[in-house]
This record gives sequence, C-alpha cells and structure tokens, in this order.
Amino acid sequence: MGGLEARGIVGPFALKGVDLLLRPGEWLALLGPNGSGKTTLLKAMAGLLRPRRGEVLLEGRPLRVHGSYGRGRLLAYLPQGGPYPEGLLVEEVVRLGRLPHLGLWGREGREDREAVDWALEVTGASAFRGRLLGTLSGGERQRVLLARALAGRPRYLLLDEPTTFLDLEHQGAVVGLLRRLAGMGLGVLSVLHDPNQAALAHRVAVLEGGRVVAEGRPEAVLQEPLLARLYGPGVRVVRLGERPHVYLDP
Amino acid sequence: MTLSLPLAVRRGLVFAWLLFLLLGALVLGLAFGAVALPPEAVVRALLGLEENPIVTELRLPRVLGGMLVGGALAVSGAAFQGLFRNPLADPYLMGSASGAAFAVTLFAVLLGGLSPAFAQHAVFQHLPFSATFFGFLGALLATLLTLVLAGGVARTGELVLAGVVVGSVLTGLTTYLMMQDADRVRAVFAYTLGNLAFVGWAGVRALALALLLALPPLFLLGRVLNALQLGEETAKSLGLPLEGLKLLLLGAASLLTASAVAQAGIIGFVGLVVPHMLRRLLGEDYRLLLPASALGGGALLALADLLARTLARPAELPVGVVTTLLGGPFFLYLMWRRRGRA
Repeated sequence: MGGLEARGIVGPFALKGVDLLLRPGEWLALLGPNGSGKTTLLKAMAGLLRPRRGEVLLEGRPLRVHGSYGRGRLLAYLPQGGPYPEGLLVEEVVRLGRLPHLGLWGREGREDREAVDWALEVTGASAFRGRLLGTLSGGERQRVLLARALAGRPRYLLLDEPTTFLDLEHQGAVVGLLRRLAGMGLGVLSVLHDPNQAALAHRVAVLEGGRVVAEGRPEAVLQEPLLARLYGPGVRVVRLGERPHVYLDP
Repeated sequence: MTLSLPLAVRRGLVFAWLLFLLLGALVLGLAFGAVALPPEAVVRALLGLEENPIVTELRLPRVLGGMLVGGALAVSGAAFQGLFRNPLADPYLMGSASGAAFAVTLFAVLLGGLSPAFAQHAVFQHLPFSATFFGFLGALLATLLTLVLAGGVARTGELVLAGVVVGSVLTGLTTYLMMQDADRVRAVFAYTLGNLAFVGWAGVRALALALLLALPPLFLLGRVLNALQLGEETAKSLGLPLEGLKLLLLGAASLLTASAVAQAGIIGFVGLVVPHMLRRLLGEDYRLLLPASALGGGALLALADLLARTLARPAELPVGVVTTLLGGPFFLYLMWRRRGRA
C-alpha cells in the first residue's frame, strides 16, 4: 500500500496519539499553534525521532525495515532554517541530495547528474548552480535547499515551514512548486504557519495539544470556530470563491 | 581580483601554490639554521655524495617532522571545524593537548623522582624517545575521557563542554605537578610550549604512520563533512550512519592531534589559521579543504620553524611561541578585514 502513515504515535514530546496518512500525489498541510507538536510529528514521520509508542509505515512497511539509505531514497526532509553551508557551491549542495543513492563510496553516474539537473530546473535554481550558497538571497537559497531535497528523487517530501522568512513572491513560488510536485505524484507534507497557504493544499490536518483535531479539505477544515479556538477570538474566515481566506480582526 | 577567475582554475592555482610553498619550505629549511649551507652542499648531502649530518640527521628529520606535525594539526583542525560546524574549533578541542602535556609532565616527574640519573638535562635528552609515547597515550586517553563524559558523539554541545572540562582539569594538574618539581620540569615546559627540536627520524616515522592511518578516511569522508554542514538531522535524513561516521572522523582527527602533540608539544594557531585562510580561497568543500590543509599546514609550520631556528641565532625559540605570536595578530587581522567588508 502506498503512502506514509503515522499510526497511534505517542511521544516524543508533545504527541499524544496521532494518526495521519500522507498519500502519493497529494499536498497535505499541517497546521496548528506553536507547541502543538507539528515539527515533532514531521520528524517522527521522517524517521529522525523515534516515537515512544505507535509506528510509522512507509509504503506499508515500518520505517526501520527500509534501512537508513532506503528511507533516504524514498523520503526527503527539509528542516526549518539553517544551518546553511555558505561556502559550498550551489551545485555541490544539491548533489548532496544524491547521498542516499550513492552511499559513502559510490561514484556519481549519469542518473545522478540528471537528477541534479532536474532538481535545479524544477526549483528554478539552475541559474545560480555555479555560485556559493552564501551569496544568494533568502528566497534563492530556499530554492536550492528544495532542490537538494528533490535531487534524491524521493516519493515523499517532508518540509518544516518552507515559506518562513520569504517575501510574498518567494512564498508564492514555493507554494506553487509544492502543488506542482504533488501533481507529479509526490506526496508532500508541509508544516505551515499561515492558514491561507494551507488553504492552497489538497488537504489540511490540524494539530492541537499533540492530537489531530481536524482533517480534510481546506474549505471543510478552515472554519471560524476551530480557528478561533486555536488562534484566539479575533480570527475571521471569509470565502474568496471556493477558497477560505483567514484574517485577523483584533 | 581572483574572484573573476573560473573556479576550477582558481582551485588549481591554490593547490599549485601550496605545493610550491611546501617545496620552498623544504629547501629553505635545509639550507638555513644556526649555520647557513650553500645549496650545492645541501643537494650533495641529500644525494649521499657527501656526508653531512647537519642536513641528514638534524635538519631533514626536523623539517619533515615540522611538515608532518603542521599538516596533521591543520587537517585535524579543519575536520573538527567541519564536525562541530564551528570555524573556531581547534585540534585541541577534545582535551588532547592537555592530556599530552599532563602525561609528559607526569613522566618527567616520576622518572626524575625514581632515578637521580634523570636530572634536568637527562630528561630533556630523553624526551624524543619515550616521553612522546606518554604524550600520545595522554592525548588519546584525554580524548576518550571527553567522549565518555559527553556520553558519546550524539550531542555536539556536550562534547565541546566535556572537552573544555577535561582540558582545564588536566592543565590544573599539570601546573600542580610542575610546581612540585620546577627544576626538573623545565625541559617539559619547553616541550609544552611547542617545539620541533625533539623530532628525530623516529618521530618522523611515528608521524608518518599516524598520517597514513588517519588521512585516507578523512579525505574519503569529505562528502560526509559537507553533508554535516546542512545540519545533523538533514545528514541523517540522507541515510548516513551518522554516529559511526562521527566516531570515525573524531578518531582520525584525534589520532592526528595526539601524534602531533606527542612529538612537538602544543603548537597553537596552525589548526585554526590554515583552514581559515584556505576556506576563503577554496570555499567550504571539505573534499578540497582537507588535502589543502595538509599541504598548507605543513608548509606553514616548516616556515615558522625556520624562523624559530634563525630569529634568535644561535639560540632557538620554541616554534609554538612563533606560531602564537604570528598567528594571533594574523587572526585578528583576518577578523578586522572581514568586519571592514561587512
């Protein structure tokens, strides 16, 4: 069975029993107030934190069965923020994404070079492949880091707040890219802060106090009573066509 | 300036320049010292056409030893900086230097106490043969102790803290030992200041063996150090068996430091300044930075030792004093220039 599935995950930290299924070909946005366990859940699903109870299934098999390189080939993880290897060439950074395929001693072949080219292309980062990462703007850098995550040709992409610190143009570029990637068949799971970006995803899951309290299509989940409970009574939701739009009216 | 050159050309030039510097350091180091030798005498001695113990028994092992020690320190510094993602990490971070100094001091005091034959001068004479072995053991044990106190390699912050604690405690103990027997320990003091005068052919062989063991894994794992610059979680998400790799990298870098300290005492700034300068020229690709550091550290320390041998002729300065006096201000200069540009 396809998909990346969290089953009854309890611990570490805030998680108190989470079930969540990410399907191939969909973009699932994870919303929730600070401290609700979004990042922890993402890390647990990426295999970086071990849950105290419950398990994570990757294509129907427990994560550890895949082995670390096997897991790395199937799912890519992009943390929020740095560190950034500023003294590395953009192309070198992206080529690191091939490590799950190469292991420690593998030599890069045609397939690896093509995957790197593709990742740079699809993220719009080809133009700066010969520059040092430290010379790029925040928006350009985020494209490169996304390209690094994509260079391994993963089936699932797990991102922690990929639009934080970006200007509107670059936020739009990232959000557009996530939709396109889902269109290509990737399962994309992103932690987001902005409910209006989550409204663009295929599905939204809301975490509160370490549990999933709502899950479904954005227009079904992003309702005023729920958001007011999570973020305070000043939250308003209006409709722009089909799509819910969230704003503050303090 | 150089930025306009294609990157591959620039990197090639840096390596060519480093090789040239290393060769130059070898030639100058053999020709100059307490007495200057004409170039043809050096060449004849090297080719075995003429017996000249100044070249073959004194200067050659010392210059080669300096290159090996400098290379070991610079590579180890670069590796620690990559491992801890901190450009200020130095080769002595894990407490190895204090471990070596403590062990050598203990050796001198104990042996000096046991046998009156080991007077101050005798200890000095004896240093290259057995004290280095004690120094090596001390450095390795201190590194292991740091690892144990930090509970393994998983938590980087705790490793650094444990290294600081081990280093401070051992330095305190060393100072205490020295106060007990100040006369006898004077030679040890000269050693802990950083000194290549004790390196003979035996030292060169020991250093070469350590580099032969430690450099291949470090050079081959350059890509892992690159991946670590993305953060440990990302490196782990790429499937790398991080715990084992960190242990291997730490072990190799510690072996280099321990061998260097054992032969030449505590030589400051080489492990800090060399990778720092090369990072500006080459970027932070560890597959280039580590080999370049080996060449650059070797050349720099051999040249610094030439200064140590000739500045106060016929007396000698400890080379650690030279590197510290030159390296400190140079490091400040780099920092100020960077601040000026920012």
